[in-house]
Amino acid sequence: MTGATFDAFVEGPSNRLALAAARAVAAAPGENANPLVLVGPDGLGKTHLLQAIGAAVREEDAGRLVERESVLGLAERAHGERGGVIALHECEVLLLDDLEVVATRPDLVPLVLELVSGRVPFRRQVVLASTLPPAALGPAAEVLAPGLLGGLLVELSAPDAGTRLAILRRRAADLTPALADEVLTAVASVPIGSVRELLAALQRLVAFQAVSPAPLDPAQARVLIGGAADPEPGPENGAPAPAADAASSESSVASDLAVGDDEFGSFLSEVVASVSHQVDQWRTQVGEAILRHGGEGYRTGRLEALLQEALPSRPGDVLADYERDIQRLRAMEREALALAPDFAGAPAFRDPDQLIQAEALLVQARTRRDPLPGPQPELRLERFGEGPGNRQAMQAVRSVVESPGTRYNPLVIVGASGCGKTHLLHGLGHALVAREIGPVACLGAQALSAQTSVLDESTGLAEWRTRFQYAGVLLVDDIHLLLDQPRAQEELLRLLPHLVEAGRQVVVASTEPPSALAGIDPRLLTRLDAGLVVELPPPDREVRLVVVKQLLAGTLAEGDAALADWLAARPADSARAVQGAVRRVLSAAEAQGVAPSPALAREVLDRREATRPPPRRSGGARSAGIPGPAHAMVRSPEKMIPEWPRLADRLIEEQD
Amino acid sequence: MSLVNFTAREITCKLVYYGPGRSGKTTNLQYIHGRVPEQRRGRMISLATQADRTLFFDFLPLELGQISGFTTRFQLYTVPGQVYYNATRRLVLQGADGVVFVADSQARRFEDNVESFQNLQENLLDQGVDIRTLPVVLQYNKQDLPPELILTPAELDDALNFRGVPSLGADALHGSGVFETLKQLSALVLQRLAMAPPEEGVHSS
Repeated sequence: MTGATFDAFVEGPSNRLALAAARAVAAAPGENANPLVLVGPDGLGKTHLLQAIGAAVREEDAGRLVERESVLGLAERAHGERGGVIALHECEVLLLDDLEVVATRPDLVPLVLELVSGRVPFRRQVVLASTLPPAALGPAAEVLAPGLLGGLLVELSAPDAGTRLAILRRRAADLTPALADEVLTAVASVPIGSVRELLAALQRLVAFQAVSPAPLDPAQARVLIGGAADPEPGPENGAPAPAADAASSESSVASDLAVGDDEFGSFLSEVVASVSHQVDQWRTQVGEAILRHGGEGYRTGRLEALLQEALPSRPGDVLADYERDIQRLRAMEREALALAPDFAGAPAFRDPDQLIQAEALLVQARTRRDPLPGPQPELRLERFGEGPGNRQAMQAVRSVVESPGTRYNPLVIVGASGCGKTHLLHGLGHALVAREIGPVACLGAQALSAQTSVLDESTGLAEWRTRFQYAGVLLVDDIHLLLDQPRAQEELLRLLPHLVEAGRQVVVASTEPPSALAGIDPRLLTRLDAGLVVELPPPDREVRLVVVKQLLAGTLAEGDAALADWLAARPADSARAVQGAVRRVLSAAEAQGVAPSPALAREVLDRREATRPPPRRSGGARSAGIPGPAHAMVRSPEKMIPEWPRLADRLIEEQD
Repeated sequence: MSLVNFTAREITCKLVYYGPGRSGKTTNLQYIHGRVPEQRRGRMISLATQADRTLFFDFLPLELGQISGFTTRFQLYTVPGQVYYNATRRLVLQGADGVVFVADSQARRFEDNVESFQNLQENLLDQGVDIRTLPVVLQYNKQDLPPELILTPAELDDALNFRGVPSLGADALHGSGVFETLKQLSALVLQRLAMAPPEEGVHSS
């Protein structure tokens, strides 16, 4: 079966005018024959023409809004379902089927009239289809008359023999087993009044042929579909019927599949017709779904592929899945358009095979309204000091930037407080934003706990999950603070595998490696351990020098290499400590009105160190490496080393 | 029992002829057996007593060939009508896709018909099947007997057919109404293929 297009419509004397009018409307909606009313009995192709108009209009311009609805469907829309009535008012082309319903549903008449009268003056096309002419719609006729005034009414009548033959030939080409052309000619000679009945008769013959040992002959075929064995003479049966081979016919009738007096043959004939009708009903349903959803602008490739299969496995499931996907697309499109009207007409919302893309669009729309927390603007990778100590961590971060979600996922950055985990995390976030791989969510564990603790299923937890589930990158800082936060841990446990399996990057920062974190769900820890854990050690001299230079930049001390070296040479547990020292020197210089210098720095920092109470030590105090009683210590700040440097740093200093 | 097996491309319908003893259930099957071309019927299995009463059940498989790509089979069963074979009746009834209730039109068998019909409902209910959900056709057999001995189909309808299922008179001995009954039931059963949702009526295995 092909889609409902003008090309698929078989033209004949009985429908030529209707086809021409429909083509004219599709070529220039609103300009010709507005409203156009197609009138004819059931099964003559009115709905096909409606669909064809919609398909042609969309083919010309995919952005045009076309709506198809049945009059009964208006009742549902009036209650706000399926997009409501507004969409019908606002679309450019409205295709309204089953107008005859208003004869028995007078409550729908005002709705129809409002739709027609509200559109026609503004050159918005309306096409109506009805089995009854407007004048025969009972009391509704008078009410609707003003709305239909000025439009065009065309009638479709029963197809003649030539048209029937053309229809049969076209449809039979898609069916197996094939029927002889003389059989089709014979069937066409039977005056069947509706295309639908004609196609049903064809189905029945094909099904019968499938179980018949001999090819059907024209006489049998006519009998099987309820006609006389011999074609009736007359103008209706203009197509010449082939001469029936009497002997052959008799022989077939005598067979077990024959119809007539043989009881089993008659029984079998009914079973064949019934089974083929019931089993092939899915074809009808799929065909109708193609017409309906195709007319609404949805891609129907999945269903068309289904029709190509001779005997698909569980076609009902495929159709149900398709319908479910369409509903999902509708819901997503509705929500997305409410948030971001410029997403109207996005192809992903019209293709059930692009649900993921549609979901991504929806996330974009949601993100605009309620953006995910992003990285802090000032924390950039370019400003992160690199040295021998943190080179491994930096290399891992670069790899993540190059191949997010593939190489190190999740990435766990471990380091003591103040070593630059947050800076690295946010800097990585900025680098990934530049990669445009999706929204980057960057938040701390405390924020995660705060957000999830106040939400539940009824207060937006699902929405919160959805926002983060569609993040391109998730960066969580201070994960060690999730200790005894079961709710936040649970949400992270949901998110982590979802994102990782979807190939989206997750990076967390912690003061301890996952294996050493207590009070955290072991399932979460094992998932983190499965990624790459890199350590960010306290800043070495090179890193400290970068930090110092960054802080001195723009001050009177910018370019003072001696000061920078002196400050960088001072041992520090963290970058934060280095920053504090530099800021103190700069502050003192500003207060004294002098330029920052090594002497000033020494005075400020060493005096501070000298006045700081000595740290508690269990093994007694140390002074310049010479153990002695506390009261005998030399109090000279020049000789005091209150914090014993790391061995590596001390060796480097001695080499200098 | 699978009605439609999409994987194996098979449609199998199990139809059970039910009714009081000597109402003509086996006669129905014998008539069908006699009218079915040899290549389309299986061997009719009939376990009868010396008095020619059905002891266990009759079974007549019908191979209807390929229809719309599906190998289609009908399996016709009868149950023993005698009251004391209820366990067998329950067994045969299991997985039935449709039931023909063959009533004896003789006025003197009226109570037997009613009792058997109630027994059918009870046995179905035991299997969790509501008779209202199962295709059922009532066949009023022996309508060829003298009118003074029998009840008319309308009278029997009043007594048995309070659910308005299809019913028809028959003379199974001479074949009148036999295939019509089968057609009626087949149509009802096959209609269910489309009506039943996939997980209920259209099985995959």
